Amino acid sequence: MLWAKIQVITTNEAIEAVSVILEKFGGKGVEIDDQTSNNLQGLKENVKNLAPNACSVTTWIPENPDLDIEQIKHEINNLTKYGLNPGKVKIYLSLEDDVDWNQEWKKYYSPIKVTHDLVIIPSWQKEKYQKDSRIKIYINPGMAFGTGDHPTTILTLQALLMAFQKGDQVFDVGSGSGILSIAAVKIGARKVQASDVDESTLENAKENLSLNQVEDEVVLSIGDLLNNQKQKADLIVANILAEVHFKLIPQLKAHLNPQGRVILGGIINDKLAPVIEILQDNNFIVKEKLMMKEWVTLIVEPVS
Amino acid sequence: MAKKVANVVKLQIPAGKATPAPPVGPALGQAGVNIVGFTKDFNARTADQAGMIIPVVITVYEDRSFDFITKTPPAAVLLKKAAKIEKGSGEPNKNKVAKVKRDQVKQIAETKMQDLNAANVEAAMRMVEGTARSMGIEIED
Repeated sequence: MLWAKIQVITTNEAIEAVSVILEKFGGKGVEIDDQTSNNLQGLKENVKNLAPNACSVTTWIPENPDLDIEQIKHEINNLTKYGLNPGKVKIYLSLEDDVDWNQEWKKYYSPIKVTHDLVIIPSWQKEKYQKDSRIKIYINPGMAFGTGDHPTTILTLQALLMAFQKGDQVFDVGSGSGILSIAAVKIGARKVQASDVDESTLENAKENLSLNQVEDEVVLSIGDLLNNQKQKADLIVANILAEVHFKLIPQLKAHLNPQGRVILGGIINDKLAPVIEILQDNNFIVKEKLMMKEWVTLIVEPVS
Repeated sequence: MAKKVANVVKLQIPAGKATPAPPVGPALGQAGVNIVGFTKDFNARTADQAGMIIPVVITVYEDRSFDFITKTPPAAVLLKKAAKIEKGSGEPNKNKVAKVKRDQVKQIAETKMQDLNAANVEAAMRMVEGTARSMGIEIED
């Protein structure tokens, strides 16, 4: 996908009005660089030439041949009519390809110890860890969630090790990078069905499955929660957000085999009470609660 | 010892619905932050305001860990709320879509004064009034 990146140099007092204009032209949010952030050096213009109240407002709009930059400029200059001084307005337009924006962060990605015998290894260090006897999950971090450096991923992996029983059939709901599915196969899952509502995660998940040579054991699909799932599992794992668990919990019982267990990850502390309430309403009990920072992962079972 | 700040990124994005797409991806990517890690945190913390554009200031440290704080919605969002409209006018010079009282402007200016980097309430009011007019919202006493 091609994006039109529009950067407007204006003044502090016009930031709000300029943001409104950019939104009107299709921007879905803005980045603001002012004298308190240190990105102004990154501008094409010599920072010394900018007025002390200068700032930059940047938005990105899906590339569109009808995009009229002159019209945007005209509307911004018109702000003087409404009592705002937008300063000496400059607009920089560039066309940018969708890329993996995480490249810079990857330099800081290193092996992560999840438990005493489970470790996450960046794909580019695979060779180096070949002889390591721990269970290894190789991840090429992309734009899908689940790289192991987030507390919710660590907690949910730990919960998986606790709740898992040899030979389990597993559903991974909201699979992202595929990290939980990979772990499930590596500890002995019979079969894993992974699904995510976000199609853009598929490519990264496929890549990670193949890195770990588990592509035959994990069936990957696009799907919203368990809406299209006709089968049942012994273990359902979902590292999503509390608001999404509200919708998932009522679907669980119909998809669990006898002695089935569920792992609910990604619950922010503030939302724990409503999640537990919905669990109770649906006849589930909490067996374990794992916590790290502001996050909670629950292992739950149906009331027998 | 306090961690050293490497970068500060300011965004205005929809609460509860951030994705790695621009502007989030390129802004945080450039600063070396794990983008999907941020969107998970941001969406969890702002889910109650889902869909409303809110400002967020992300402090990135040298080890590329980060903290962020969210602020009250932009003046434009507060103005739309005060004026009870969904969106501003496409042609604000010709087509006025709503009215707000000067008292409401003052209230918004006071709420947003710090975020607007305004020297005093009068300066903040001038910015809010200008923003209102640029959206086709008239100010009445």
